[in-house]
Amino acid sequence: MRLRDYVIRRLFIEIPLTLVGLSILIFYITRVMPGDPIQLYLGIEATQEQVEFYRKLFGLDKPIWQQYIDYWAAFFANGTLGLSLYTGRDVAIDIKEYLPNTLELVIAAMAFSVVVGILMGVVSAMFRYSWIDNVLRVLAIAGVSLPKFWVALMLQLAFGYYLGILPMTGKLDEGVYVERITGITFLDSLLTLNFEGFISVSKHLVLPVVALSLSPIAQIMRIVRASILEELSKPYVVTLSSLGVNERIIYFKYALRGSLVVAITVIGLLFGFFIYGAFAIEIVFGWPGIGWYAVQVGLHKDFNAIVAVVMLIGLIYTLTNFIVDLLYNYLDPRIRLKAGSR
Amino acid sequence: MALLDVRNLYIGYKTFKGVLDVVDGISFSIERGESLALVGESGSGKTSIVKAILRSLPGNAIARGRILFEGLDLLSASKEEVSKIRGARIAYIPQEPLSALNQLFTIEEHFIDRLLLAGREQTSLLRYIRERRRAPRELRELMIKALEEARIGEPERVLSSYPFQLSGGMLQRVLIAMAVATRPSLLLADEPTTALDVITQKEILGLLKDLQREMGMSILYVTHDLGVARMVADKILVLYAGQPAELGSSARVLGSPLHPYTSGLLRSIPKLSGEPMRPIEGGLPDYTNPPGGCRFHPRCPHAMDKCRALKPPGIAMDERLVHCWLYEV
Repeated sequence: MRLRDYVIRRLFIEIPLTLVGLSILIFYITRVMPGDPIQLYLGIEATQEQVEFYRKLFGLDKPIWQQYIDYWAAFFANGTLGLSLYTGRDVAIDIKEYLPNTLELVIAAMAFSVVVGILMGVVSAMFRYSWIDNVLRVLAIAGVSLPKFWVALMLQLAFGYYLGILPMTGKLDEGVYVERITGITFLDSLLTLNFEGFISVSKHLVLPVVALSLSPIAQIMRIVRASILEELSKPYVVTLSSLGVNERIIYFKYALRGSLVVAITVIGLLFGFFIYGAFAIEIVFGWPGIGWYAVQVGLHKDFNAIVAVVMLIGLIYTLTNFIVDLLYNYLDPRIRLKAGSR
Repeated sequence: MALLDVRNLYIGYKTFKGVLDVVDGISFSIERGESLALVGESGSGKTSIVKAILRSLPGNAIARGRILFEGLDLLSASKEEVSKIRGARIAYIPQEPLSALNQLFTIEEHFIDRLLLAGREQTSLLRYIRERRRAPRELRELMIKALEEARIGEPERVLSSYPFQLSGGMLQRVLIAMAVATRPSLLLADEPTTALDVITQKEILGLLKDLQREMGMSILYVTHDLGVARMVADKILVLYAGQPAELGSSARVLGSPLHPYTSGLLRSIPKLSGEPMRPIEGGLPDYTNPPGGCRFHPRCPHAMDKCRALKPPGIAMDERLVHCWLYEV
């Protein structure tokens, strides 16, 4: 199968089908889950007429399949995602506001953990079974096992409270304003050459990014270490080193490339982990992102918002996996070049 | 002075079961332009000797004795001194061409790094990236010339291929081209044709012989195949369980073997005439506790009391050194 055919099939058939399935499932669940969201919204003192009025307003009096069609018809016609019970606004507007904040956090954490994780993995493999390796492996176990919210609190306590060098919560210092272009403040401050805003947002990013990255760093490090050790037992290492190619190049070029093919799977799955991990981190650090939003709407049984958030996460997952597949193709010539003959 | 002079080499491996004495008291030398074959069964320590020359024995190995290359003892030389020689003056052809290169990189990528980095000490990654970016232009002609020397028809296409796209014979030619591109004075060929079919094997051995003559290079072959040894080597060292059995010109050693092990090996070769093979009974000893005296005595039809007690010295006779008490004067 050619790469082009594969891309077309994935993008226009497989991914849309998955999302349609997911949308039916989550839409149904939010409509039949126990507890009446309208009752919850209006409080116990609301009269029967008021409840009926709101049910009609949200279209809950219609059959579920009709609601489903109306919901998505409105989305494709007007780009709306239904009214939110929690914010009282169109959910699409809420997402537009909160999603860039989460992407900012997640992309920063992703970049940080990939770079640090791979570096630690290679170093750990280079100095295997020495004290350096042992220290790194203990750190990795700690990174995987410690709960994120606890690490986040400890970081706040240490750097925010005792040392006072980094802000504990929020996204920008008081009085600092960054013009909104992409919604990703880090980028916007660079685009508008807002130096003050850039410093401020960078400082606010440090602790959440570190807290969010610990466990991914540990996972990436361990998979890179293990796969490099496997690579090093392959015969090409002997060939290259006896032809005078030095150790460092063998580790960082030849062995790392092979282990990246393995690591990329883990990294792709981690992107999903980041989105979900961001829930806890956003709450601890008061970061106004989609995770924080998801928790609020979940607590309020805000059915329209829940559908939208779940669909969004589903979309991110499927797209990430698609990108991972494309990366495989780039990293492993055996997939790329043999694809034509299959 | 000989190009390579191995004196009384001992190699042991520390394991949980104790120390394995894999190579014990091996001596041989190779002159410039000469070729020598190390012959023995699998597990007789041939590859350990090659690794010792390349200084790439694993961490649990112990090596004693001397390996003098152009007068420098490779066993005691510093890492820097070794890195100036390995890959540049001493090159290596691996055993299994199909897995000898990284499948994710092209031939060109391997080749450039090999040319760029051979004979140098550890380079920093940044410096490497800088040099690698500048390199290809000048190196390309060199690589194409080397591939042509190894009689590769379409050097450009081969350079841009990945290892999995080439056949075993073609890859072995590529590996030979890579090895000889820096004009090494010593080439180590570890079972270079074992993985290949008979026709390709013959071509590869012919190529190695021609290159040896053209470049005045010395070659150390490692093989378990007496036919290969006879075809390519000037001298042969027969090893048994890490000890020397017989060392001499290949014509003499294979034409009229003196050591019972050499004649046993010759009798073990299957013949087309259908004459029954008479393989040597038994197998290689346990290296944690090898038999005393001559290690071959448990399998030797001529074993005497002396063989069990004392290690035979090299006895010079009939233009060779034979390590066997049968020939004690």
